[in-house]
Parts: sequence; C-alpha cells; structure tokens
Amino acid sequence: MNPPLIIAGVSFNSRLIVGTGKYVNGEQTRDAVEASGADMVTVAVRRVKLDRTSPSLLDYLDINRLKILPNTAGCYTADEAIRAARLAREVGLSDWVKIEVIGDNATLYPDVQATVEATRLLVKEGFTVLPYTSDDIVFAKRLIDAGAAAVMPLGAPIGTGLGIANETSLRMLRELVTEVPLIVDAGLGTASDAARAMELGFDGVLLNTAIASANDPILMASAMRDAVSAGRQAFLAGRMARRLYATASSPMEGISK
Amino acid sequence: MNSPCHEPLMQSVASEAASLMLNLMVNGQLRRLPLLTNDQSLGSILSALAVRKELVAIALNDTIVPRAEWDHTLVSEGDGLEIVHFVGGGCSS
Repeated sequence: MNPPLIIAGVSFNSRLIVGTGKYVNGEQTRDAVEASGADMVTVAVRRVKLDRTSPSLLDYLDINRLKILPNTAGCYTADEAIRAARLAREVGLSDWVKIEVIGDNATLYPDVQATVEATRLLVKEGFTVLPYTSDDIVFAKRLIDAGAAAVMPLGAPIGTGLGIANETSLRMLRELVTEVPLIVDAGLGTASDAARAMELGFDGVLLNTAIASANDPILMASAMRDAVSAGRQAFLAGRMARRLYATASSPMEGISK
Repeated sequence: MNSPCHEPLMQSVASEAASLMLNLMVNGQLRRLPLLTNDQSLGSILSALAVRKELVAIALNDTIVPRAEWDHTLVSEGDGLEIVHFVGGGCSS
C-alpha cells in the first residue's frame, strides 16, 4: 500500500513535483509534465511581455487537474519574495507558494533567515507555504514553527545535476522532521538520484533541470516518474541489511554431485 | 500618489499635443496611450494594452490591485503599472 502524498490536507497521487522552466516551447513543457505524471507544477511570476502576443504557459497546462505552485525564484530578500507571492495569488489560481530567497549567486543557496521571515508572514496572510531551504535542521525546525506546509531542502545546488551531495544531512533531516512532508528540491540529475531521495524516505522530489536539460526531456520525465515510484516502493518495502561477506541465495542442500 | 521618480515624466507631457495621451510606465517601459475621454480605469488600460486579463496580476504604483477593483481603479498620468503572469520556472535561473 502506497499512501498518497498529503500536503496541507491536499492529496497528491504522484510524489514527483516538476518545474516548468527551460523547455524549448509550450508543447515540450506540456508533454514533459504529462510524461512525468506529476500532479503539481511550479511556475515563476514575471512581467508580461507587451511587445508581442505570445501564448501563455497556462495554455499548455491542465490547470483543472494540476496544482499550480508559483515560486519566488529570482528574489533576494524576504520583501521581494512576499511581493512575488502576493502577486502570484492575485493571478487567481492558487494561494500556494514555493518560497525561495536566494542568498548567494554562485551556489544559489537560500537565505534561510529571510526564508523563515517570508514564510511566517505569508502563512499569517493565509498562504500555504512550501519553502526551498538548505539541509540545516535548525532552519527546518524554524520553518515548521513559522507554519511551513512542507520543508524542501536541496540535494545539491540548483541546476547542477550533481545528485544528492549531502546524504548524511538529508538522512538526519529525514529522521528528525516528522511534522510536515520533506521534499528534496534541487540538485538532482538523473533517475537514480530521484530514486535515492525516495529510498532515503523523503516524501517527494521536486526537480526541473534534470528533465528539461536531458537530451530527450519527455523520456527523462517518464524515467523520473518511474524512479520516484520505484524509490518510494523500495523505501516502503525496507531494504535488506548490508553484509560484508557473501551469503548464497541458492540452497546448499541437495547439490547433485 | 506619484513618487518623485515620475516627475520628469510629468514634465515631458506639458506640451499641447502630448496632453491627448496618457503616459504610463508599464513594466518598466514608457507607454503612451490615447487618453480616453470618460474611462481611465485600470480595466480599460489593460484592454488598450491587449493584455489577457484572466491570466495576470496587477500592481499600480507598487500596490497590488485586486481583480475585482480593476474597473473602478483610476489610472493617472505618470503612474507606474506592473503586469505579471506565470511563466515556466523551477528554481532560480
């Protein structure tokens, strides 16, 4: 039995959340989202281009089926993130927001203190807040105190595709955070990385570049869907104990000589 | 109402011809729109800009204007308008 992912009382069949950035066009975005099986997608809030009438991202997303999770990507202060979240809510599709406040340009590491501030204020304003954060247990606890609906630590810097570079920290987080879902957000590169995150017991995975920058994004989206599902099942099944020495798996009895 | 940074813009429309136009800063760009005689609401401005109203959010001079108020929020000469929508995005890029 594989129970659904529940965030803030909302149930999701898929434990994979995908971003919609970096695709070559709307059709590819649509096809990748569909192949991923995701029930929730992230979007960014940006100025409308006035000089040309280009199709909207929302023309390619099934907004009746998908949970839209606007993000505050590109924000460097709590105030900027709060403003972006309020604007996103005014679009009228969602009062959920992925809070992301960047604190360093080389690593795109989050400014966790500003993230906590923005989370606290937006929760008071009625938002459902899913913050992108570091793998720091202290800030994870502060985010939960501030009312975060989930905690989303990075596995490696955004867009690097390095895979889980902080497994020890993530394992501690997994053991110590039980109040809200834990979702590995950022840094994953391929299907085995997503499976690994799920095998560690994380409740979900959020990724974008690993799919969008694959040679065949649609096929990778499908691979990610299967990897998240396989990793989850392996976690639920419980892996065997590791042993240093060999143990035969065929019976030693009845060998014909 | 208008912040000091809009003052040069106000002066630039002092001429007779320009008075028939409404100058706005829209998403950081100067836009000159024909001055409508009886409707300078935010809603009419969005129509004039050919913006798809169902998919956007608006801030007028840094204050978010709820959709329900667009048709009775008046826009004035030199106002700053931010019009945003959703685009593809995952994390910061």
